[in-house]
Amino acid sequence: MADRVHTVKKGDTLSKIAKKYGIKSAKALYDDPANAKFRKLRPNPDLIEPGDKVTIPPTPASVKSNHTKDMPRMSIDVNGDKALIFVQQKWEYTFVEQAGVSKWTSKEKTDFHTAADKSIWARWSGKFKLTCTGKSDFARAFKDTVFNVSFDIKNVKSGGHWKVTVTKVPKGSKSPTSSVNWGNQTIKLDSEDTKLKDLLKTGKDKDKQSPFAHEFGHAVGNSKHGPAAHGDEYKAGAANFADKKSMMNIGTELRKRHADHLIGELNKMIKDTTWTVKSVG
Amino acid sequence: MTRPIALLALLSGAILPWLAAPPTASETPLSTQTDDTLTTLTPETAETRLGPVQDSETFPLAPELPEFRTMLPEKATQDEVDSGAFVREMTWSLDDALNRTIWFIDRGGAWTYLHHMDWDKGAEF
Repeated sequence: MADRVHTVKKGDTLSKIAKKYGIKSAKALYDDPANAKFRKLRPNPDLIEPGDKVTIPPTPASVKSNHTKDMPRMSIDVNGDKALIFVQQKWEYTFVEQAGVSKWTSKEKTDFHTAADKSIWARWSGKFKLTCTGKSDFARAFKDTVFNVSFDIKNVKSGGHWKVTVTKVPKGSKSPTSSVNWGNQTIKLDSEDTKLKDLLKTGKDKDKQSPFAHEFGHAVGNSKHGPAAHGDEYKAGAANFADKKSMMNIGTELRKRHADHLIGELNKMIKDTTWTVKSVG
Repeated sequence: MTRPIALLALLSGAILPWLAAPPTASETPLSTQTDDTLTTLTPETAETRLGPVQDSETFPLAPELPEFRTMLPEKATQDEVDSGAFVREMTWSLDDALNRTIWFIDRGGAWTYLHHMDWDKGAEF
């Protein structure tokens, strides 16, 4: 969309013009790249003349602030007004039992999904802080906005991004090996994955890894078979083998690299808009 | 009643593989190997049988291990878990679809079979 142009009238100041168009300050208006010519003409922002042309950059109120993309492995909603990026995976469950173990009850199935959802939400949401730059109206309007990212899984009967097979095993037994297959969009979990693992051996709950959160990490793009091309970090050959506290290693902490795939997808969503992880909490 | 020709086919299927020369890495029908044939392997005989190893790593056992190794404490003795006995993890490519990992544990200075897993090459743990 072409930028709006304001023609200066008698009595106008940059502050008044900025206020009129919802721009946060006179400085932001004056410093906007679109006003380069105007700055050359009026090197002193306090001395402007009737008839001058001031370009009004896009503002959150003037641009399309919501963007949605559904992909094979997740959907992304970008909400500029709420400064929120909402990532959701639809999980289509199949519940099976190990030999000799009682059938899953409805409540157990619901409880399992709730536990997975809560665990993933608690460990992934609100951690990444993203900013965007670029030539798009969206990027210019939200260049000073810090976006939060939330991660959610939704239990669906059909059309899931992921087919999730959960095996019920005897309570207290060793949890069988859980895994994620990026290529065929399958996840294997078990009923003991609700328990945290003390892989760092500190004895502290805050350091214990959630199998849900780790496996979700693969499904959200930390896969050596996906575009990010990096997955588990706990094997000796892995690039981040020494970073034990990392979620994709044996710890609980997220790193900027864990959003590589998300960033790649976001960068394809809104033309001329480039996203960056500003920080990870 | 079993017909003679069927009996012959049955016997040849059951016996001939045992009469044949020891299989090499390229011809071993790995997908049909039983656990029994693996439990006697050492790292050296495994390499002879399965060919060049793709990945190899040694680490101490612990009560809880990352997902890929999560079953190992179950397979070892409590003393081995408590003392952090060393485990050697060796992975081979079986074919286009599958990898095989065999874990050996240090028992009295000798690497002894502990556990194995055949896994989809696309799986991450």
